Amino acid sequence: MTNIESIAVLGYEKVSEQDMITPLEIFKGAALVVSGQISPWQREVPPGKLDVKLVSDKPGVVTMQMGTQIVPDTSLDDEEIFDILYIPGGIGSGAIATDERILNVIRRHHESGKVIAANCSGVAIIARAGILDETPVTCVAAVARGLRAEGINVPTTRRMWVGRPEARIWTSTGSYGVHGGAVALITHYLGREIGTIVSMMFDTLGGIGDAIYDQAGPEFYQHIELETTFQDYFESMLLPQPVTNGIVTPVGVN
Amino acid sequence: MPVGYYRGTTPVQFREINWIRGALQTAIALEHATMPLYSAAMYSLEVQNYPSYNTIRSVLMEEMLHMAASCNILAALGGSPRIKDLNPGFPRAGLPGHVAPDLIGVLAPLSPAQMRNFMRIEAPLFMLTKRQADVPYATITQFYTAIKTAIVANAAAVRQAVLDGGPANQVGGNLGYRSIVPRRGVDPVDEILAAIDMIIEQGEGSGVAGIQAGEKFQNEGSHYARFAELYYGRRYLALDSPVALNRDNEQSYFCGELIAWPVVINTLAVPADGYTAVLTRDPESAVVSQELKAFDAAYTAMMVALDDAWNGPPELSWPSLGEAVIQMNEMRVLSCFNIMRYEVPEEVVAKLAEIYPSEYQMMATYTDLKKPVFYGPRFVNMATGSTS
Repeated sequence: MTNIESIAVLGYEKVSEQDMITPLEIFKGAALVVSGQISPWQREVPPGKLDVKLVSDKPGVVTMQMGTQIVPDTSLDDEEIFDILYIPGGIGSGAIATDERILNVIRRHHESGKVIAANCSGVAIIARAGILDETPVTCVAAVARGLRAEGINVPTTRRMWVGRPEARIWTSTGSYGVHGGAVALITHYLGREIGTIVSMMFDTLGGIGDAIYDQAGPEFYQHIELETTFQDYFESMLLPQPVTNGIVTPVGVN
Repeated sequence: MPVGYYRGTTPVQFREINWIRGALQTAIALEHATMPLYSAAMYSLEVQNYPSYNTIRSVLMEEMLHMAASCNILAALGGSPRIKDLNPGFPRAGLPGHVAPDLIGVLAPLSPAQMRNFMRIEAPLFMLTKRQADVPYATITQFYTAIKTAIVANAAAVRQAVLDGGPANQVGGNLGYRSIVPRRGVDPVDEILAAIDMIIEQGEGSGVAGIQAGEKFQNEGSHYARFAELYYGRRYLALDSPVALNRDNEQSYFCGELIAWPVVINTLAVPADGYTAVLTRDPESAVVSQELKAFDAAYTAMMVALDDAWNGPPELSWPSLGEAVIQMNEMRVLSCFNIMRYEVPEEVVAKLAEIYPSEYQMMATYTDLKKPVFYGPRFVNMATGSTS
């Protein structure tokens, strides 16, 4: 049993609005249910604690990829540990994927037995942290080819989300799959009752039905030529080669 | 009512292993919430070798076993019993988990009115009025039955959870507490259900044979029966009557040996402010406050020690349990020999209606305001600011 009492969603320059705000709202909604502030029926389970924070990589306002600005709850304290560390995607994710400080925070959480979740191109960040093994993950199409080239198992048929509780890794696709993935994540860790209440609050159950109770989300459509075009266009931005001492270091050449 | 829904409580289809763990935590809070009530009454007895003292003490001891059993079941399912932050808060309506919502839970000395409350806590469903019964959890048994139903419905997940284990300790197995550990050839589901049956039958009786526990428990008098004996002043006798025991004929079943009503220290039923308004008018408030706080500190230390017994290092579990027992004894001493020595000034008692307009009736019901009135223990968990 994994006890979840704290969740941090990472904010950074040019993070995607949908990738960051959607899970943040879903988790904060879950916190209201856990604390008993939202209770559509008389619950037998006593109120509990779930602390959800938007944590920025550095102090100050976060400007997202479409220009929206948001004030984070706090900025990253390298010593702080959260039960779930959630890494969203966005066009700024490439810079974060080469930021050793953030990669170390991710590694430290995973080594401490905590859950790491990521969506969209945020999956590339946790891949660069080196915490993924050979079991499948999912991500946005734009980084799928590049991650495969680095040895990450991204099946051709992508799932909306892939949860691997035994490895404490949860991944979701780009923005469209973020909502379902976040609800499935909290359903798994906080229970079917809380997951269902949250899914009714945000209409997830109506949209994708009982899939929220599964560890793998619905299959995505494939558009091979379009995906290739978008990979060519975005790959260098979202999945830059790491630079060490001014020298580009190839990753996962195999 | 939509199919599959359970009278306004958590729909049954959502009662899986996480729900079971959460409901067990509520069961722990529920068992714990009865104990300050029983303890306050027990402490109020001037001489502590009366049959009434032993009766309340015997129920109190079994409530501890019930709380321990619920903690052990939760620990077996991978959960961590939360004890140190339990703080029922009195006076209160009902018990945790919305159980027995018509109950008045007030810290008060032993009295016929308080015995009625204790009987309400332990009452089997067939002894309740229609109004009392017409809620999802009118009795403690109904709450535990919902947990049993979920355990049976999720038997495979329960077995797996026991196999997987968790961070919390099993406590008191060699003291006779119910503990749940994986054993070859033993289905943990059966063990858990048996532990819950013990809680149910010792509290309310077997449910099919009056107010005694079943044969597995030597047909001992249930908690309800034991409190009813004190209320009626006579021992229970199982009559060979064609009419089963019910609300109307209950008294006729209590026709055994007389039980003398004990001499009681007339403590003031504790208001929601924990006597704050009384103390501001008492010239001896400094010393009384000190005694009240000393008791609360011992109560808090006991809760912390119990929490440590389950959630601390396994090798320190026994010493932690021992520390909790030391604090329990300390609480009795601090209450009986310190707090209850202090009389609430007569002029303050005379003004209680003015000081506590909304609680005066409660105080007058559970305390004889025409006699000298003394302070009683408040059971404030100083480690938490909230109630649960």
